[in-house]
Amino acid sequence: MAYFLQLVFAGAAQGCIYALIGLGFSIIFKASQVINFAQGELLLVGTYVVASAVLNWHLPFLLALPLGLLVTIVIGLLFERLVLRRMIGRPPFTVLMITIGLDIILRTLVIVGWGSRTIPAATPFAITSGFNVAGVHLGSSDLWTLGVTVVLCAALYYFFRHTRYGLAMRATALDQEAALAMGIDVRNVYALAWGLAAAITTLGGVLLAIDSLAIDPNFGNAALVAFPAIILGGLDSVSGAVVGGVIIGLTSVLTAGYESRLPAVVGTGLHEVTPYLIMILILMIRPYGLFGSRKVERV
Amino acid sequence: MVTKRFLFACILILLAGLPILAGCAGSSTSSSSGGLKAGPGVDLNKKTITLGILSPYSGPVAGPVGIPIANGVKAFFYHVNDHGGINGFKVQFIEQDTQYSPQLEVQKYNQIRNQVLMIADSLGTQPTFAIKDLAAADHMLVSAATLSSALAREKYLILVGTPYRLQVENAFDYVVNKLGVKNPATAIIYQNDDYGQDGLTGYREAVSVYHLHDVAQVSFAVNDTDFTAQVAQLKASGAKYVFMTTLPTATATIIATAYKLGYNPQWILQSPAFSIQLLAVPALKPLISRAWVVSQGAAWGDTSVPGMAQMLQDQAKYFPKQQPDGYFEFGYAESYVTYAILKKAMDNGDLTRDGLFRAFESLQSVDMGGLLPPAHYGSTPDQRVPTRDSVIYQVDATQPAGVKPISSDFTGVAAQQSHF
Repeated sequence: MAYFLQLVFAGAAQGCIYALIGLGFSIIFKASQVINFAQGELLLVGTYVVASAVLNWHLPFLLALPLGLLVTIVIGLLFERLVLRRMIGRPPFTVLMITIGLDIILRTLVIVGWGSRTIPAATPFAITSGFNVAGVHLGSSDLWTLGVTVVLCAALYYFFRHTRYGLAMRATALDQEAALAMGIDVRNVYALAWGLAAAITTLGGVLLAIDSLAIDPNFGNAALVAFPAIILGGLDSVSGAVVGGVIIGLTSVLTAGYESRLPAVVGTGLHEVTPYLIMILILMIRPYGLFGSRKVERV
Repeated sequence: MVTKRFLFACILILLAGLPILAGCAGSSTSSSSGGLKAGPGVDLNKKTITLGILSPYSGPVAGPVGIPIANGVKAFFYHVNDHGGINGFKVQFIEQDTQYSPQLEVQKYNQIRNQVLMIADSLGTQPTFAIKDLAAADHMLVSAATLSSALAREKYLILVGTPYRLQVENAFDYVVNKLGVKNPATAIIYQNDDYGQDGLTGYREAVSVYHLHDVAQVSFAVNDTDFTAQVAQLKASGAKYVFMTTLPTATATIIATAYKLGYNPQWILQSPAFSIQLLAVPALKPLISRAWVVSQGAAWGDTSVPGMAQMLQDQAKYFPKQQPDGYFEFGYAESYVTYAILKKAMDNGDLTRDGLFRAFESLQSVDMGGLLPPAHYGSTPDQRVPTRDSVIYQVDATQPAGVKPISSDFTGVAAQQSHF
């Protein structure tokens, strides 16, 4: 039982990280209908900045973290302001290719700036910090990941429901032209979405790096694992990204924990495909994902 | 009427054809002078031999592996050139950035194939295997910077060093026969790709030969970032010795996760699983310092072997910014074999690709200055495995390369028996 609970705890923590990364995808897509393929590299840049701030510039972790967030927010805002704003009305495929371009540029900048070697990640915790309950180790970093995700989700809920900018974002997502007619500055909404997404994704990356201990320029690939989470949750659904992330995290870790008990033909590497199997299964039943908006067109 | 679109298409076709034309321009059929037959990449008038290097010079693999190995290769031949060359012939290089991508490797190979006599360095199992059929068709020898066992079955690919599979077998020979641990509870954690499968094959052979008590064989995906499930399995299995066929970042996370879960087996690292950079991770340093690394060759700075002093001099002279690095040493050692092939072919009066191949098959033994044990080559797959020995190292932050040997150079029973 302790074994199972340990996996559930690890899976939930892992799922929260996917949820945070997925939230970044969803917020941008919801606001601007753009799938940002540079999300992984925003995470990479933020994590490297935090690591450098702690290890090279000797800043406390609690100062380094906002610095990392600030850097990625600025990158997100600049990209939105200087590039994407000029692409409004262009085909989605063009915009998608531009985000891939940003992805490559950011990764190259990291390699040029920090080199391609493995470097230590910034962590505020000792490896063993945490406590044991009934044979299950509850690590500090995992507990913080769970806590941060819950608090962030509550904050986002409040933001979207009860603040002026949150309502503006929801209105823009619902109908851009109607939002414009109501006096909402859609450009500001886009900028806000990019800044918010960059910050949340970076937070996910920093929490992931705390567990990894070391990072390298491939670290941004973590965003790819979050992708099935947002698809099955519903690409335009913020709550879907969270639920999808937790489902993917749990199934992936639980499958990895039990796959060796299956015959080798089926079991080896099963956890690698489980997220995609679940995604396909859910999409077959609900083509717009668990919480995605169903598009109705009048013909 | 010629449209703009047609003109544009013509220009595109011309641009696309330029590399091919350039390749053809550089190609040369066999020629001879003074009794010496020469193939592509050999200029008998200028007395130069051009070799290719296909290595990542950009991307994540470049800094830790690609560039140090290429530097090692170049340092060796810069020294040769400064001391008169090979029978008066100077060696020069055409270097191509493959970014560790099989597709790019093929593209770059095709660009230089008519301009080089052989490939002096091709990094990575998958990139190298992407060009194996092209190399075979061109009769091009390729010195491969990978220890994949599968190389032994390819007659134009040159394996330098003990394959991964035999590294695993030697590691458990050390546990059973050198340390005297009978039926130890063992496990392997491996990444789910060709490299991991090579380690797994060696592990299974070791289980059979040394009667290991195999309690777990656990895999992970290259992109995995959380290893709790894998480590929980290892812990539940009770394995006392865990072999890791991993890469450095995964090594760090796995060992840290195990420590978090209160699991501290004897970790044994396949040679690519360790990087001195791991010792720069403060929280990891005390944990990984208990680990062993199975590899081979002299430790950096060990001047008791004859080739070390020369290598250190060449590194200081040609690449002064190069830090102590086992990969630089590998590239330097690898070049002893390339040099031996070129020298023998030249002595035979045949610097064509077929001449090089005949020289390679008849090399018998190559002394690598003690940087690696002497390599032996022949014509069958078993004979193309140049060495079967290993050294077990303890991770040690006080050493220049982060490891110190805790065993002598040895070949275990399983490694002696393995067939390829």
